[in-house]
Amino acid sequence: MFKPEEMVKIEVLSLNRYKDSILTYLHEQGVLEIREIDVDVAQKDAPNEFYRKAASYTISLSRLIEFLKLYKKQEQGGIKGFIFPELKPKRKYKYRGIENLIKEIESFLENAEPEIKNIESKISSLNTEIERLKTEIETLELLSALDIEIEYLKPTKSVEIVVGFVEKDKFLPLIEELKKALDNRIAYVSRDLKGKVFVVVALLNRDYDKANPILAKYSFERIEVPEVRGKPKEAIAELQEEIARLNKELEAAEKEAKSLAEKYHDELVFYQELMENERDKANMLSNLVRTNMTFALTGWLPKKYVPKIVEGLNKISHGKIYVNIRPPTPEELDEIPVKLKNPKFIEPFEMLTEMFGVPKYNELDPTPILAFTYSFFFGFMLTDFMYGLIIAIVAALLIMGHKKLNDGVYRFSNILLWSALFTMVLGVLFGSYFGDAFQRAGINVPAMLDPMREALIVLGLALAIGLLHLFIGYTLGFIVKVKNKETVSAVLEQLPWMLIILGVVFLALSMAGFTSTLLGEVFLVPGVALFVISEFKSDLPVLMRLLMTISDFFGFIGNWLSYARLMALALATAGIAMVINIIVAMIWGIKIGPVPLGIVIGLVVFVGGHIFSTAINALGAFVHALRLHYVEFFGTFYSGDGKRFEPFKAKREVSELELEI
Amino acid sequence: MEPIVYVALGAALAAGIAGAASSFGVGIAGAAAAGAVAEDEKNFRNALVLQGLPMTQSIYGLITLFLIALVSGILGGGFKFAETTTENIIKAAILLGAGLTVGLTGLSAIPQGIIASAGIGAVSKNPKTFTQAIIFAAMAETMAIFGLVGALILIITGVGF
Repeated sequence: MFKPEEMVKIEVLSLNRYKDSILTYLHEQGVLEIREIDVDVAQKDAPNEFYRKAASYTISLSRLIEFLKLYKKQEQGGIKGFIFPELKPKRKYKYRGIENLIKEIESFLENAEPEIKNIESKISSLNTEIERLKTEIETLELLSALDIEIEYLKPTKSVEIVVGFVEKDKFLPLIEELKKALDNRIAYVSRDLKGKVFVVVALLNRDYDKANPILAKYSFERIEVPEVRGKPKEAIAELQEEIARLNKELEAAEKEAKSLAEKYHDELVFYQELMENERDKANMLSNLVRTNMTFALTGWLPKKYVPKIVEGLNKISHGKIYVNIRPPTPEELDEIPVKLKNPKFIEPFEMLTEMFGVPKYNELDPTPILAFTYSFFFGFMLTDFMYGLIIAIVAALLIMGHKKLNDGVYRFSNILLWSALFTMVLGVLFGSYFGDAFQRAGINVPAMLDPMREALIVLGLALAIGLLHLFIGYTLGFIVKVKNKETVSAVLEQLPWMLIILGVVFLALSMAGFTSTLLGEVFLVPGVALFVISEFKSDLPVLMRLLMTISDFFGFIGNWLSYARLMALALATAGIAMVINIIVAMIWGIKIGPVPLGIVIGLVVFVGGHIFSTAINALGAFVHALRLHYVEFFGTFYSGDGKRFEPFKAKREVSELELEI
Repeated sequence: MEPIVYVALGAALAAGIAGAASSFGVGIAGAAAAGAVAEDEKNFRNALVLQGLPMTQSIYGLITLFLIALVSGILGGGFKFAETTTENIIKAAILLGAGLTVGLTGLSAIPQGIIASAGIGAVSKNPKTFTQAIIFAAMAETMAIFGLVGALILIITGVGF
């Protein structure tokens, strides 16, 4: 807690023939972050032919999967699938080097790929054919306005026939101009169709070049006459029969695709995962160096894994390996990757810290404090027992469903569950159950504080909480800086505000008659003095320093007042709930004859309204609790400049590797 | 002016201006959301949450409207400030001020909608930026919250139940 996981630097040197298995072992363990080695005597390692093959097979596998996915049986969707996702079974694979794996995949693809591609091209060509026939039918439907044999519309040796549409107002000028240009050597028929004029023009072959620009000038839309016989209506019937036949063929092909999906999809996904992991390893090779016989790698490792990893490495290489473990040097401070370490119940909140950025290795991990204050702020802004209960139930269900996956949803639900518990406790304190629903129904519930009627007390509470929160932030910053021997910065940046806050608190207490004003001044005066000194230490022009002092001071006030949102959102929850309850109370009494319609509608409005209110207020509480931490709290001390620990780790969703040692 | 005019104006401006601003904000974000969904349907949930953010200002307006209606007796019992006494006019004017505060600070829904729409664009490219996008949009809401805090204090201490 508070401190990140202890890291050590590891250096490994071994023979090339163990490289594949050592790399695979580390990949499966997933606890080592490999870093680039910079050595002159050895050359950088590069992927061999097998790794390059792995990269290309990843692509071809994913293309096959993409196609088969369309025909795969739909997995369980909807709410149940979201809350209780099915665990995919993991298939075991015995790893005997990348050469064997590539060979296995090649022999698998040899059968599967042509089979799948065959169906894929069959389906796509059937689809294009059906599309083509459909457009032909459309054209024929237009031609059916003429009711003549289609063959007559085909050009012959000496006669060219042009079929198409022209705008109504351009029709007569077009014909005029054609007649003029071709000395009346044209014949035409026309029909009004779809707001345009449908025209068939017959002209001599040798005149075609003259007519063409004229047709273009009047924006004549030409139609391709389909290659069919008989009158349009007969042809359409024929084509429709043809489409029906093709559709049947398509259905059969799709059925075949479905059976192929059943047969191959899971296996393809399995091989794809294996290949992706190989590609991952290939990408890592450039960080390694090698000579003819040996290779070396270096990286960071959490200290607790050292015995296990060293033993594993020795076993794989039959002892033909050199491993050096050493603690980080002060110069390496900025390079050490940071992995947060917290007790199990705080761990989910690491997600919130990481979203902002992890601390540097020698800085403090704020997650434990954030875990408490975040849930508390969330609870304060939602303050309703029933809303808390609803969220707690949803979160608990999600936790149960996602426990084995240990994914983002699981961690997020854990955060929600804690927040919901705080909401329930604060809801009881504020006497809020679906807002004032019980009070309106005439049932009295005990309450410490009525947020609506005693809004000022709630505001005071919110600001007091804010001051405490900021004070904690400044104190933490002070401690961390003193520990890291940055005392000057600690005294100038954090200490003034600590003193000012203490001063303000004691002054407020003295106003209430608890302490004398002197105590407040003792803190406040040196605090303000230190603050002004720190502002005037910068090398800006004097006027700018003065302005910066004022702006920084009001920045602090602004940060503090920002905590007033705790009160505003608490009252907003109470307010929305109250509005819903008032509306329900108004329609409750409505009756049509003996039918108590009001009760039915009232219940619907009550349930729907409060679910909506829970959702919108929980969203507000989530966002603003986070903001109070990121903007106000972290602004007092936290940089989040650390490097996150990104271990070299295999992705194992549908596969499991057994490494032969 | 009669006190009822102040009170009615206060309630109307709070819910009216804030509501109109919210609808602009939701509209701006909604246009971006539609584009994001066309790109990839998976963006729907994230885009919907972001689109909903500028809606809160209208809720603050609605709460203010109800509070004004409650404390002035329009809801539950008769109108309390019917007589044109100085005290009644003062209380009614306070309610107008409170309503106007929430209404005008509710205009922050429009820039919030702009931020949310940019956020939706960012999230559809990189879903990992979802929370950050929400935080950016939430920054604009601060002013509306301050307005609500001020109005609540005005209503509850200045007029009271």
